[in-house]
Amino acid sequence: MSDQLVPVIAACASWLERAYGRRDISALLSAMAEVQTRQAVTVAAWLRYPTALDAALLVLAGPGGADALDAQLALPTGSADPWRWWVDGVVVSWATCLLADPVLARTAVAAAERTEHARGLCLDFRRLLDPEPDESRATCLLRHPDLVEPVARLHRADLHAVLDISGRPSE
Amino acid sequence: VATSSGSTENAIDLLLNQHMQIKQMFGDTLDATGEQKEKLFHDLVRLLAVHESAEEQVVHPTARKNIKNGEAIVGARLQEEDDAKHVLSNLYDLGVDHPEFDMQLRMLADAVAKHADAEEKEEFAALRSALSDADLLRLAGAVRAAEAAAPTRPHPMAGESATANALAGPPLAIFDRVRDAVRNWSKH
Repeated sequence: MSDQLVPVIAACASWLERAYGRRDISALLSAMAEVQTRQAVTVAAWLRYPTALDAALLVLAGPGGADALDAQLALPTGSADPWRWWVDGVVVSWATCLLADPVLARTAVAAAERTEHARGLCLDFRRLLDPEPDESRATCLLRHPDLVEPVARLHRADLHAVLDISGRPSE
Repeated sequence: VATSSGSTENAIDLLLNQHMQIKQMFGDTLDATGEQKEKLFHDLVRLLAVHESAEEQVVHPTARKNIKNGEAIVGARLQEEDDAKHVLSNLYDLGVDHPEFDMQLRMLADAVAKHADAEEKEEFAALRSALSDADLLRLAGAVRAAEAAAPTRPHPMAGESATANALAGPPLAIFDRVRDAVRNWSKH
């Protein structure tokens, strides 16, 4: 994949960790949560920016930053942390959709594997698709559909459009 | 894991560097005491977790399909990683102040070093031969995406004095229109 998506993926994962990470768990569980979040964000970023050209345009234009997402969850805004500039609201929203919906995640992974970033590679997103009990415990907030809904609903329709699926009855 | 400064560094060189980092970190943790030891141990836990996850996500599956005896070679490595995960969990429960912590951490360091040597000799060397340069670069990108720390510099559009980031980037619809225009242009 293009290296240009790396800072965006890392920043989006950091935002999700800040917004939904559990504070009451060990460093071990925290690391388990991070790798699941990374996988969801990677799949989301590959789908949103499926070619190296898309990634280059993203870096040129700027990913949008974290303030709008912070406002959505009423988190304190205005922090000067440099990574916050690299947060992409669509990628974060799509990642929450994937973490909270295993069926959608499976469809998304299959589509992400057909993007330019995955060409020539074989991939296994087990941590996202089939987490072990401990791993699920580490991301119970991030995988809770009600809790992530304020962020997931922002761009869920666009994700469904990219995956060419219609909205579900529950929505 | 520190991000690599060179985007042309291929996946095998990146993974070899990370193995060296892990070995160094085991040594640093064993040498430290008190709160510093605990912090280094937590850093080591995170480093091992993201590194093994990246290998499981993209390196092993790609090796399994592309190198000779890939299935058997990767299967052995995955078993070792699973064993290490359990030892790491036990070590975590034990705590850095426990009298047996250092001995068990040393045993884990030896096991991880043997595991890394086996990966380097049996898996990485074969992958380097089997994949094209372009595939190796894409593999490196996927590994970095799985591991890289959050950026420590703002996006260039942020400017020197910016402290908030509400204005970075164009509205989504404009971005999509520009992207479509560039895609269409590049096809002609």
